Amino acid sequence: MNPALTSQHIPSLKEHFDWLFSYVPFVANHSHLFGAILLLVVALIVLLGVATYVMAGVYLERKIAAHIQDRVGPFRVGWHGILQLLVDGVKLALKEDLCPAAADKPLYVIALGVVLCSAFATFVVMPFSWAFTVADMDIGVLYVVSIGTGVLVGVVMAGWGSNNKWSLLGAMRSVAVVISYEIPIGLCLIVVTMLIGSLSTQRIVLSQAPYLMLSEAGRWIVNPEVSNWGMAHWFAFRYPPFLLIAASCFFVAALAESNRTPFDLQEAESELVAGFHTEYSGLRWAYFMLAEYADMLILSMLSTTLFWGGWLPLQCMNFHTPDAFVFWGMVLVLIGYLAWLWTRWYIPMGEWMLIFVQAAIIGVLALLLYFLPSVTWFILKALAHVFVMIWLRWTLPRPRIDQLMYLCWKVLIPIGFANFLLVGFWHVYFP
Amino acid sequence: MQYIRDVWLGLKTCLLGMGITIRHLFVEKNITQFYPEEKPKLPTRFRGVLHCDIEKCGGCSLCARACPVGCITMATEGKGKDRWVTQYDIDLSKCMWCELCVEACPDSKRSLVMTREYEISVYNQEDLVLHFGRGPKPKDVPSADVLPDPACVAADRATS
Repeated sequence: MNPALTSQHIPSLKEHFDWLFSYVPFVANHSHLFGAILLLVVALIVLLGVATYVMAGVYLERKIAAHIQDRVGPFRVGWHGILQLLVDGVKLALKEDLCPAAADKPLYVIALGVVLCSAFATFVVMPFSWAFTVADMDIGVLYVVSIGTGVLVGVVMAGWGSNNKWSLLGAMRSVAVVISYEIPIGLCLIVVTMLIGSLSTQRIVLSQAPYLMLSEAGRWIVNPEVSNWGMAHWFAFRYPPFLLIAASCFFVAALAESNRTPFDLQEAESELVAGFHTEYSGLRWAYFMLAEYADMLILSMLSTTLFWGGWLPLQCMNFHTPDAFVFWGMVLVLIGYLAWLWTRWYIPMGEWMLIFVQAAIIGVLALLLYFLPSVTWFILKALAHVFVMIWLRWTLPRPRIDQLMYLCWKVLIPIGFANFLLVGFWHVYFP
Repeated sequence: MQYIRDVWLGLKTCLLGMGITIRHLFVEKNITQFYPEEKPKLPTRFRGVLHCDIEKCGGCSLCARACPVGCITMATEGKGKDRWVTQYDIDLSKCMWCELCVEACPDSKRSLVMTREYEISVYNQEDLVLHFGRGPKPKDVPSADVLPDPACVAADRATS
């Protein structure tokens, strides 16, 4: 894959810090202490960033839901209801914090901590940019999957600790679905990790950019000797169409994994008792919501890292390489699909103009984004995943539990497994 | 084979549905009315709150009899042209906006009409009762046809 990866050492965040500290006399002598402080700051940034994302995510979800249903959504507080995200938080903070009399109080309280900690701990290995990975572990992807499963423990604790049979049933539903969907997630992960032989998230991203090499200053620069196929190197476009199928399967499984509609049978707010967090109110409930949205973001980030090039920018590429043909073929198929979709409805000329104007605005924004640093690319790609998740939520109805299990055991797992085998054969016999 | 068809159908319908929702997200106009700021366009024959122009009312109580739910309470004094409507109450909490009372109102009077007003929320049920009556008939005021002609009165004052 990337020739630089086999021989060269990828600098970690701590090494970047040490390099920074070496210029400051007092700090250089106490680099361990200051490194720890800086790591705390980084942790705080991630924590606050995720909290902000959750508030904005809730607002965006309400707005997108409203516009899909031809409504306008929150509109009263601030410009287009933008202050709603603060108002929601204040409302939840002011609510009474209830605890059932018969609840197992320690378990009831700790459950929240377990859910939150395991949700936030996964951000440690996320490759936000070429330099910003809090810890680039060798077992990165495995770490995300296993620590992420800690949420389940918290869910069961919450369900059991509430001492409410409906909460416990909700927790059981949650566990049943998430554990089933761990398998297709694993099968899609393993295809990528098999191809590059590493679980480190930073290495996975860099494998999607073989045209990059490490300069003497420790920065990633473009290697002129390797042909730059750009986005065609992203794992979603490799071994077509197998890895695109793997990416799609991963996305569907991630939807179920993060308890999102259409697979939110755990909560099913319109049909059932709300699931494991029935007995939680006020800020505690808000933290469960935060963990749920963070879960969504984690899986989006994982999908971005594995299949959609991580922090690498969207970029143009040479048109004459075989992979580029495949990539542009896929783009053409997508455009054809969209065109076919549009022609199914009569759209007046004025609305076509509206679409063109929107496309032009998006194009200009994309051009601007080209100059933004890699953190933005990573976050934007993850948010694009989140957008599709929200979009799907307001499109599809909820399946029955047996249909949910059918999708997992009879569709995603066989397809994921066949994918795995076929990519393996291709990789070994036609490298 | 059926399996492949099912999977394909699931994928296809899912994408179709997503096409519909994205169209609604970006293309379709919102239908929300910002109600208190932006009033809805009422139909031509909109039936709003009842209003009685008591000056024109002859007190025939045809409206009260026409009302199927009995929401109009009337009381009058006097006879013929002197009939004085002391009480004319319309209980909007009973009214069902059928407009039968307005149709019953004689063409020569046309005192009872339905306005285009519809914002009638109140805090107490009693506030929904509209009072149009003129109260008890003043004793000392002679009826209109007994009074002298105002022009003659003015002329008399000028000469004396």
